[in-house]
Amino acid sequence: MSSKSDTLLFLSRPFLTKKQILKAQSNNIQDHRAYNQKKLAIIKFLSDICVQLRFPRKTLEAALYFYQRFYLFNKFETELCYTIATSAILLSCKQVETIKKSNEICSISLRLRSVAKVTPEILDNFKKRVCQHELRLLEAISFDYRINNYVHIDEYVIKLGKELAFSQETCYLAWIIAYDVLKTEIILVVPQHTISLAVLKIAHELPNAKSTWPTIRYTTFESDEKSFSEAYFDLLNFYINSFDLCDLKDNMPSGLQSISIDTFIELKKRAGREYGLKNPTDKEVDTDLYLSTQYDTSNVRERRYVLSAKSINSEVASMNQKP
Amino acid sequence: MDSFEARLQFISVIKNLQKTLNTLSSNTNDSTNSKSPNLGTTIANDPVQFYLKNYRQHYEDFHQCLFDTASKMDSLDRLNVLLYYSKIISILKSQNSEFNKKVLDLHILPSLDRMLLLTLPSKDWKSLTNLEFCIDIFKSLNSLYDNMVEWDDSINFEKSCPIEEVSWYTPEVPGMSPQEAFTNSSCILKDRRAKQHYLYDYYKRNGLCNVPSSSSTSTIIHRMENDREKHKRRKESSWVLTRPSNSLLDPHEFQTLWNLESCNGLTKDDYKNIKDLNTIAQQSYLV
Repeated sequence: MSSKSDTLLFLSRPFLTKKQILKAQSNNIQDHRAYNQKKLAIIKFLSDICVQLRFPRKTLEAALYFYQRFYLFNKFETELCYTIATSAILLSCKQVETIKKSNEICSISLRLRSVAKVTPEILDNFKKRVCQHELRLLEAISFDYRINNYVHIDEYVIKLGKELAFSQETCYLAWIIAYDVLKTEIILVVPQHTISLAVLKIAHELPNAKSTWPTIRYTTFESDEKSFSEAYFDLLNFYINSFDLCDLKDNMPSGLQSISIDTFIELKKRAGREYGLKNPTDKEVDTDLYLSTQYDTSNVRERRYVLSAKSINSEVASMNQKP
Repeated sequence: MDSFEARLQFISVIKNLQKTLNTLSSNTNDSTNSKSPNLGTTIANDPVQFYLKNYRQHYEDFHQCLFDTASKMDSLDRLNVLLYYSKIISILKSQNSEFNKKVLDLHILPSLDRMLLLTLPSKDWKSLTNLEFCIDIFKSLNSLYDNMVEWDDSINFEKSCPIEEVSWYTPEVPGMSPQEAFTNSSCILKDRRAKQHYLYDYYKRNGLCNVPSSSSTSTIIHRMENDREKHKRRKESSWVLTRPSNSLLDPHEFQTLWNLESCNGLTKDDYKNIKDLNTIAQQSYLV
């Protein structure tokens, strides 16, 4: 960016390929291991908040989307994660319309982190910090309200499961797997209904080795093979590489034989060659300004966010037309 | 508090129901609403708490006041009284005691049909806006009492009758026992349902029709605001999900979703939403 810019115009890009995500993270996350470890702690933390405040799972899902998007564009600092996470869940409960007052959310957040005595002053300061980060979160998602409003993984697992006439047991298994999905980064990559389809396929295959999965299902449910494979293999790889971290193994529904890493290795073998979304070339990623713009407020007068490329094109066109 | 003072206070509680009775859930067995996000009703002005504090000495006075005050209100406003009435019933029923049973069976329940008649008066077409709520309340009270009366959703109405001559059902004898009151109530509700569909059908055939109405504009506007508030409050708490095992993977959440009608498959709107989402994703990768 030139040092004399007055306005930054951003096109919202709510989904990014893995390579693009890695590039964006490389600007902000120095220690990936620390980031991932903290992320697991944050997931537990937010899950506890959801249980205490009786939020449905979609609130958690949206909060994790916001949290992970934040660190694509902002430096990762371990001390701040819990504040960012609290901000994320505050924003997500507004997004999915499961509103709770910020007082309640902030005080539960402090309590769960064993803050000794929560005086009104401590609560107030914390609330202020949480609200300050809300703007950064909104910018990280480009104020894009179209994502995380109607389509949620757990609901679509059930809707699609019923459309495909799967049994209640299969859908229940899929619903459990859908919680493990949140530990991966796939929600930043492909839309929720595609993830739900991938989850259903795994749930369908786990008990019954020789199941069929007609490829027509991708187009029928507004998805495509590449996005689907991206989600499917990402999830299999998670179970193979991080089996100890998954919740599925401790929550297997009764009646199904227990699973192990080998179960997933088998599944992956049977799935054939691993493939997914088409990744941009290294050059394209390096020149992609969206992934490398630093939020330097000193010499930018205003930042604007638009949702469609058409708005940008028409603005450029009108700028070119001016004498 | 003497009887006169109690009556005066109770009357003012009833008159303020519009502001204080904010949640629609008539099935709540909580006598305290400390977990609700609705902070407008504090313990001090909670009408249900007022009743619970004072009914042991004054339940008969309160019962009379309820009907006297309601009969002086516009039928559009009387819905709040009915909601209050049903909340009292469910709370008293949940706090099982001989005394409560006596109050319910001898006083409150047998007047259910009178209360419904006030909310859905004869020849009062505009009161039919109260009908859906009345049916919901009746159904929930009926199931609270082990389905004392059979309810079916069938609707029969006489299409050809001219509007001025439509006859409205009134029970010949007001209910003396809970059973009679419930039976009368179900007849009233069925009749009003028939009237409602008669009116829909009349409108379809003849367009706008003139019916005598006695409500002032301000009452109608108040009622509209009240409905808007109720809808807002209902939305605020309809998503709340309890997980008995305190784990995020509690099967209760799955069961709730599985039984939800909106999750019974994909609707046209769902297809549109996921199609839009997929388009957004494809454009987002810019590859």
